[in-house]
Amino acid sequence: MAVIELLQYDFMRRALIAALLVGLVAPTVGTFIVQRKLALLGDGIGHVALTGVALGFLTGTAPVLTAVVVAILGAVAIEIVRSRGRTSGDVALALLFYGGIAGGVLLIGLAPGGSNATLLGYLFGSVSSVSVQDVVVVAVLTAVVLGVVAAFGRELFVLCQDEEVARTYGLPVRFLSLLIAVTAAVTVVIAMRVVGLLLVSALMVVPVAAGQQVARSFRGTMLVAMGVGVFAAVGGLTTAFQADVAPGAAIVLIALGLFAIALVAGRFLRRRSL
Amino acid sequence: MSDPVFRLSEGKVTLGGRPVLRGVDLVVGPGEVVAVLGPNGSGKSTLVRTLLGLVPLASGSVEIYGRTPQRFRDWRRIGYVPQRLTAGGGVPATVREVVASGRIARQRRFLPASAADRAAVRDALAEVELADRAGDPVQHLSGGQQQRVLIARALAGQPDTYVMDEPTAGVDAASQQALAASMRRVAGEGKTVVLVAHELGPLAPVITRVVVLTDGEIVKDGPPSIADTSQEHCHPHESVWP
Repeated sequence: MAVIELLQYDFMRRALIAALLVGLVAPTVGTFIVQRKLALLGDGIGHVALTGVALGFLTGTAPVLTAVVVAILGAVAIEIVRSRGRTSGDVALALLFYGGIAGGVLLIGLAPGGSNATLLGYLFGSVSSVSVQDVVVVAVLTAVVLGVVAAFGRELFVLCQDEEVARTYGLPVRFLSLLIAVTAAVTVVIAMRVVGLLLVSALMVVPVAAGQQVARSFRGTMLVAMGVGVFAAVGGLTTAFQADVAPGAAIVLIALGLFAIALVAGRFLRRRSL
Repeated sequence: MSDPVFRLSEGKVTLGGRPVLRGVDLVVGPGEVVAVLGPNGSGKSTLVRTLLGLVPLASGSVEIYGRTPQRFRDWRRIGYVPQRLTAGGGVPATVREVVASGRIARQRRFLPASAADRAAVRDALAEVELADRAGDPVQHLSGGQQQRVLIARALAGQPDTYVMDEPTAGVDAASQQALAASMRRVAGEGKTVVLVAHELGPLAPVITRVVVLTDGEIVKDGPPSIADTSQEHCHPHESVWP
């Protein structure tokens, strides 16, 4: 089997582990984000994270670290703007999109030896260059995100259903909203190396969109989305290796293909149940 | 002397620069079944949402069981039924998932649903006659059935006080009867109910007090008999009965 064949290469083993974890974790967080109508949140955070990456090169710090910090700050900013409701959510996101990209490009130019080419690996992903240390970071962050979902899943479900109702259950609505935003930020950085910042959000949203078509429950949607995410990540990576195409793009296109299949299957299932 | 369930004093609410409540005083005692009536835009929804601390007061004060909403901690005593189920981003959720979430204020982190949780959810589903639809996505249900899901979610939490925002609006006759039966039972158990309605309909026998709101002010407050005249006044031709 093709996947087994790939396992003989060290770099592919690391890449597969990273892809597997990202495929698992991105749709998990994505299910809550989609239900909150924040499907583009991942994109906003991804753009902001680019500034974080450039800041890492400029200061000689690990880019993943600075990306996490800046992404979290950006996510908190988005959440504050959203909850205040002064500016409409999409305008607030748009401002962060542009600020994030412009900041990243400006800062990378100031970094010693840095150029826009340096950013390409982060914008489009470079899963084949994942180091052992990267895999460890991805694994730890994945455990953190899944731990948050396990611990707060019930509260987050209520919050995503209806914020006012959540308040009347005495839930800490502001804390939980920030928790979702920060968890999304961490997820974006986890996925950054695998699919790239420009495509991160796809892995958070497309598998969930596929799950929505065929599942009947929230939990079911999340499980289908996780399955789609893992299949797309591993399948995309394998395809990319064999056909020599960009892994991030292959992963996202496979996820979109699975969405199309789910769309048709969902129609069929609903027709039969009527 | 125990605290009243809700105490709103001189409550003024402004939404988007428009005054919606103009200095409302309302005290709801334990065991009362209060219907808030009034024409569209009179501030009925805003009033009950203000009681829960969901709408900020421009001036005045509100207390839930003797504490401000910010200081109030015993939220398991409150069961809020919003006007409608929000669709959100369209991720499906089953009837059981939504009803079970009503137990949230009684559950501990990391612990799975207890036998008491499961029993409460089962009873709530049976009470609103949706036990056979438990596994269906709420999105597939009719408006009246969705309303029953929201009521079941509140019932599952076994609160002392129910606050319902138009539970009978746009609801079929069967669902209205089911709601009336549930209200009779909870009222019989001495629970407090504050509900917003257009008219009393099948709920009439359960109601102990009627508050009529017009243009952000309470114009009538008394026994259900006062509703008849005000209903004529507010809705001469309207009826939700088919």
